[in-house]
Amino acid sequence: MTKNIMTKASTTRIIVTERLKRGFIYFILIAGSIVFLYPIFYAVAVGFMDKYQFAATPPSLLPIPSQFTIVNYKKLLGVGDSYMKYYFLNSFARAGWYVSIMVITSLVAGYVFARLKFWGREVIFFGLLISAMLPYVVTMAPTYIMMARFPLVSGNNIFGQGGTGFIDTYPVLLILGLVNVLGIFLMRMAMYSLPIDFEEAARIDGAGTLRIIFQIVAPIQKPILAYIAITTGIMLWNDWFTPFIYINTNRYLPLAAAISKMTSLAVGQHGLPDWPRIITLGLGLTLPCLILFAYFQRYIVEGLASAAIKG
Amino acid sequence: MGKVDNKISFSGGVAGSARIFSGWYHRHREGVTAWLLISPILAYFLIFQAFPGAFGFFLGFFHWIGVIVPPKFCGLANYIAFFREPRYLLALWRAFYIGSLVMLVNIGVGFAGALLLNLPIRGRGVFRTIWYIPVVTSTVATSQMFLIFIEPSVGVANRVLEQLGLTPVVWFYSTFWMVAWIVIYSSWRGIGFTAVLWLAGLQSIDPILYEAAQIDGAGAWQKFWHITLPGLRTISIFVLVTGFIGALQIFDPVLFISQGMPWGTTEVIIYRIFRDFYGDFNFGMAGAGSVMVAIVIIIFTIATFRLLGEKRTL
Repeated sequence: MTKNIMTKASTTRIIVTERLKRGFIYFILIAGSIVFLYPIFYAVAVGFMDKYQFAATPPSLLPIPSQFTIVNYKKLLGVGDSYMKYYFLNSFARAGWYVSIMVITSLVAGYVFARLKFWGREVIFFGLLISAMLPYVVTMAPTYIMMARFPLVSGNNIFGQGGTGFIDTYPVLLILGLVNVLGIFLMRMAMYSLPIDFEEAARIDGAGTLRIIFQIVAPIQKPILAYIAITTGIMLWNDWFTPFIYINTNRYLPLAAAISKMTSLAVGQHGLPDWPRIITLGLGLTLPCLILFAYFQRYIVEGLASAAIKG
Repeated sequence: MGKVDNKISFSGGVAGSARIFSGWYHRHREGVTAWLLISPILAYFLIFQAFPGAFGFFLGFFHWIGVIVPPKFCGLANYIAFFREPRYLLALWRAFYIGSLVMLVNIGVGFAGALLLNLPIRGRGVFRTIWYIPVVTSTVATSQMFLIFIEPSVGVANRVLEQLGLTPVVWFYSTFWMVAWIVIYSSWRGIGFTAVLWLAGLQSIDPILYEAAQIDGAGAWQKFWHITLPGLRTISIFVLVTGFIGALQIFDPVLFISQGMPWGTTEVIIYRIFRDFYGDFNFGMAGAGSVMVAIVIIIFTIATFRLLGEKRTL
């Protein structure tokens, strides 16, 4: 009981330690935030320089350009660089295509695996899961050979000989890895936690399976579908690997792959690499993701949380 | 009414074999619908994802350099080379230790971050967003930033050292520092992800447990030890498995920042396989290497599940 009777001194001491603790917590959180955001600030600052100025300015934590030039930002928006519109268009087209396909397949397959009973269900689902666990390097080389030797494409005959197959063609950007096993898995999980009543009511009213999936289930499962859409959208927008190895034609490159090619050239080549330009392009690649993320972050964090806890 | 009558008479008028079929269809209606919906997805999956996977396992048995040249069967030669030539096992070891460093930092700092981000303070949502931002950035865009930080002529890192009164370091010729930079970059990008996972785990713990402990007179440390840590069991398996699989496949920062420098001492296994595949077009060797990596990852995953005693599949 002595604990409850506090002298004035001990109360102030508790308040002081509370304040110290709080200040310490804020200090760490703010320090972390600065570390995480620093490259973005740096990139914005460097974007206002040209490459000679960037090389001449002594490096500092936040370089302030002596003369501001917006040529890099203009180039990012396509002024003076005719390829930029292709880069952006390809990135958008690719991300949009993959998002729509993956959302629909995850929705349909997730529903089917959760609700319908059919011969081979468990085996097929287990097979999908196993394949999702394998690292992507396992299929890197074989997929490349398969694409190069795909029958009846780009001069290949029926046995896949003679031509170049899908190498350096546009479709190769759109046909690889369309099935998102994690998406199917999450959708199936989400279906399990949804009572079946709605669907049965709809079925009694005469709705078919497709109608149930798209008109009853899809609106209810919007959060998990949004999670799948946003994560695949960001993943595809940022994906540089597939275009990097398959595409040589500049016009077919998405933005991320274009930057990766420029970076790997800049490291190897002699002379002065145009770092400010590459940095600005990187900024142009990052900003759409940041905006999308800031807008939809609730879905992302919740979706990740449910994936982690249930999965 | 007429419509209904019409329908009945129509289905009644179908010939015998069709009636058997329609009976079969009515018994297996659900299965037929399911297969109709799933078969396009399954067909695509078999052709574009399962087939290359299976193909990859056979690739290792062939001597196959270049797409044009026909492959030659060579038995286990590629696999023997994997164990004979020190660079593969070394690369595997490097991936393991660099990956473990990344994972340690991610899990440790991510956990501390999650504890802080879970406290009821003002601006919590903003901090969570900012900490997660690096995860959604592209590795292409951010790893070249780190490359520029350690660039000899324009890099910031050496400038900071100078201002602190230390001697500048030639980063690219120091194994220690290249590894450190790869770890710094990977952690910078990965901490937010791990922190959100831990956060999800922390929030899945029932608050009633803490209240009960409070009533029983448990201190903060006891609550942490007896409620928080056991409650994070499921999530810790997830964090460990995904963290290790991701860490062992560390590749982007090596390609963009160090390129295996200095003297190949940061050449990790995926980078080695990538070089075999895309630099030398040695498909057989790349296939053998990939299979070995897959085996290591599968063994690790199963071992983690066993060790932590989780009965569920995945």
